[in-house]
Amino acid sequence: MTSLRNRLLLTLSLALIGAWSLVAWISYDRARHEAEELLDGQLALAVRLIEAQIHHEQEQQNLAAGSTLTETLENEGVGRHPYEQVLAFQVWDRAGNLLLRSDNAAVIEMPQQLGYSDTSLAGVPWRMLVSVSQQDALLIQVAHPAHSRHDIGLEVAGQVALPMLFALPVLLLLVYWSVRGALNPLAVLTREMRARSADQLEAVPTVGVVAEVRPLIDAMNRLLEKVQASIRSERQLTANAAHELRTPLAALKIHAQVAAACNEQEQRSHAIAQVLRGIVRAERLVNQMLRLARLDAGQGEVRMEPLDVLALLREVQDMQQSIAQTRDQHLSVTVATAEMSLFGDAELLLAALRNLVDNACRYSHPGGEIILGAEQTPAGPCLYVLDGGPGVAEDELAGLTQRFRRGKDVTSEGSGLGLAIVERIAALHGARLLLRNEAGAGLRASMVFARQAERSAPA
Amino acid sequence: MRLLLVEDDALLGDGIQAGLKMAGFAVDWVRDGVAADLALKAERYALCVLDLGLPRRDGLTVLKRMRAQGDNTPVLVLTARDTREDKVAGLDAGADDYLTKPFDLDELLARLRALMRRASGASNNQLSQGGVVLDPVARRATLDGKPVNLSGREYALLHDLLSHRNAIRSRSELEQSLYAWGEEVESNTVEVYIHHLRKKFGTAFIRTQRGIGYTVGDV
Repeated sequence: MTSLRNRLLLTLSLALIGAWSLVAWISYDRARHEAEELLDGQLALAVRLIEAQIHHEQEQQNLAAGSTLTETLENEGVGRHPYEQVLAFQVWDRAGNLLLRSDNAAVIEMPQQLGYSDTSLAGVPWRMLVSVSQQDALLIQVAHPAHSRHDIGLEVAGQVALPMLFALPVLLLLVYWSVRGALNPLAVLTREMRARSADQLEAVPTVGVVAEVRPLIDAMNRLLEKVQASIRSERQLTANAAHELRTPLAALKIHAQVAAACNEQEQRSHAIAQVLRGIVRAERLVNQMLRLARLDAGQGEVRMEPLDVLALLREVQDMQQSIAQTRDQHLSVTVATAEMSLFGDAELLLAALRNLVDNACRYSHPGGEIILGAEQTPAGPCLYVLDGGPGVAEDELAGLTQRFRRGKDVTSEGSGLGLAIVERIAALHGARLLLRNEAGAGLRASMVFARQAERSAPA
Repeated sequence: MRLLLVEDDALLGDGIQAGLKMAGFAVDWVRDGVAADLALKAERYALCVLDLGLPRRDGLTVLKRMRAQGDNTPVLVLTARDTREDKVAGLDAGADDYLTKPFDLDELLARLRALMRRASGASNNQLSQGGVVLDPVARRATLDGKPVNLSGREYALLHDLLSHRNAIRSRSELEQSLYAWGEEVESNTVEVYIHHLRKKFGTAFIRTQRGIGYTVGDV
C-alpha cells in the first residue's frame, strides 16, 4: 500500500540529503581551487626568497662554482604550523650546474619547461614551479607535495559539511514531525469514521477542517446522505410490506376466530365468507410478489416479437370487462394510428395493461369511462389507460410506483405492487411508465416505448 | 360499551367489528383519519381501537390531536409495524396499549378490558354493587352468588351502570352507550331494559332520579 506519509518523508529526506551533498561537494571543489591558488602563490614566494637568498650567498662568496650546497629544511617537529608546506627546491646556474638543493629534493635533470607543473616523484604527486632568475640567470625549481591541496580542500569541505551532518538528523526529525502534523486531519478523520457504528450515518462535521481534506469530507457526507436515504426507503419498503402482508393475515385470523366463537348461523357464514375473501386477496398478493420477483430476476429475458396492438388491447378489454361492469364502468379501446409497429412480449404487456385497467376501475368513480388506447407519439409508440377518476395528488405521483406504496387518500385492497410491476415490465421493454393527471379527465398511465427503433432494427 | 374502531382495511375492519360486537361492544367503524377526528368530536367513546396506517390522516396524528384536545379516551393502537421505534412513537403519542397485526381476538378483548379497568381505577375486572357482581371476562352476572341470565343489551346496560356507579346516567347517555351508528333505537328501549334488570336484580337496585336518569349505588 502506498503511503502518502512515507512518500513525502522519502522525497523530502532524499531532496534534503541531495541538496546538502551538493553543497558539500561544491565547498570541497571551491576550497581546493582556492588552496591551489594560495599554494601556487607560496611556491612563487619561495622562488623569490630563494632567489634573494642566493643573491646574498653569491655576494658573500659562499657559493663556489662547481659545488652543490645542500640545505636541510626542518620539515617536521614541534612548532610547525599545520598548513606549513613541505618544501623542496633545487637551483641551477646557466651552465647547468646544480648550485643549491634541499635535502628532500630528488635529484632530477634540469627541467626544460618553465612555470607551474604537476609531476610525480617516487609515486607521490608534487606541484612544481620552475622559474628563471633574471638577475643571475639561475634556474630555480621549487616543489611541494600536491596532496596538501587535496587535504586543505577536504578540510574546508569537512568544516562546511560537519555541522550539516549533525543538523541532518534533527532536520529529518522536523520533516517527519511536520509531515505527520500535516497529515493529522486524515488520522483524525480515520479515527472518527472507525469509531462509528453502522447506523451512525450523520454528516461528518466540517468545522475547522483544512482545505485539502474538506473535499474528501464533503464527498463522504454526500455518500452518507445517499446511504441514509436508501436505508430510509428500504425501511419504508419493509414497513409497507409488513402492512400489506400482515393486514390480510390479521383479517383472516379474526374472521376465523369469530366464526369459531359465534353461535348465530348467519354471523358464522358471513365470517367464513370473509375468510374466503381474505384468502383470495392473500393469493393475489402472493402472486403479485412472485411475479415481481420473477421480473426482477429475469432481466433481459423478454421476447421482442412484433405485436398486433389492437388485438392486444382487445384482449385486455375482454379480460377486464367483467370487473368494469361490476362498477358500471365503461371500458373502450381507441387506436389512433392504424399502422403502429410495436415489439415486445405480449404476455408481459398484457399483464401490465391489465394492472393499469384494474387500477383505473378501482380508483375511479363507478359509472365512469375508462379508455384503453394506443398512439404514436414523437417519443415513440405509446400504450395508455385513461380513467375519469379524481386523479392523484401531484406530490404523490412520483411515489406511486414504489413497492407496497399506495396513495395517501385511498382505501383499497390492492397489493400495492401493481404499478411497481407495470414499471418493471415497461423497463424490461426499454419503455417508460408515465403517470400524470389529465386535465378534464382522471389519471393517465402511459407506457412510452422510446427505444423501439433500435430494438426492431435487427429483427 | 360504545367503542370507536378506526381501520381502513375493509376485510379486517369487518372482522374486528364482528368480534367486538360479539363481546357486547357497540362499535362505530370509520375508515380514515379525518372521519376518526369527526367521530371523536361528535361522540364520547369508552374506548378507541386505532390503526396507524390510515388514508387522509395517519393514526399517530389523530392520536396526538386527541390528546392535545384533552380527550382521555383509552386508545389501543393496532399496527403492522412492530419495531421498537414504532412502538415507542405510538406510546409517546398517547396510546394506552399496542397490538401488532396479526393478533388474537381474545387478546384484543383482554387488552380492551384492561384499558377500561384502568380507566375506572379498578384493580380487577369484576364490577359489583350490593349483591350484584358482573364479570366482563366471562360475560356473566350473579346475584348473591347465583348466576342471572341476561340478554346482550341487558348485559351492556348493567355493565354501563356498574362502570358509572355512584353517578347518574341520563337516558341519552345510556342510549349512546348501547347503540352504535345505524342501529335502530326504539323509543322507551332504555326503560324496557331497566325494567328487565329490575325484575332480575330487585326494584331497589336501580334507582330512578326523576327527570335526570338512572343510578346504581349512592348519589
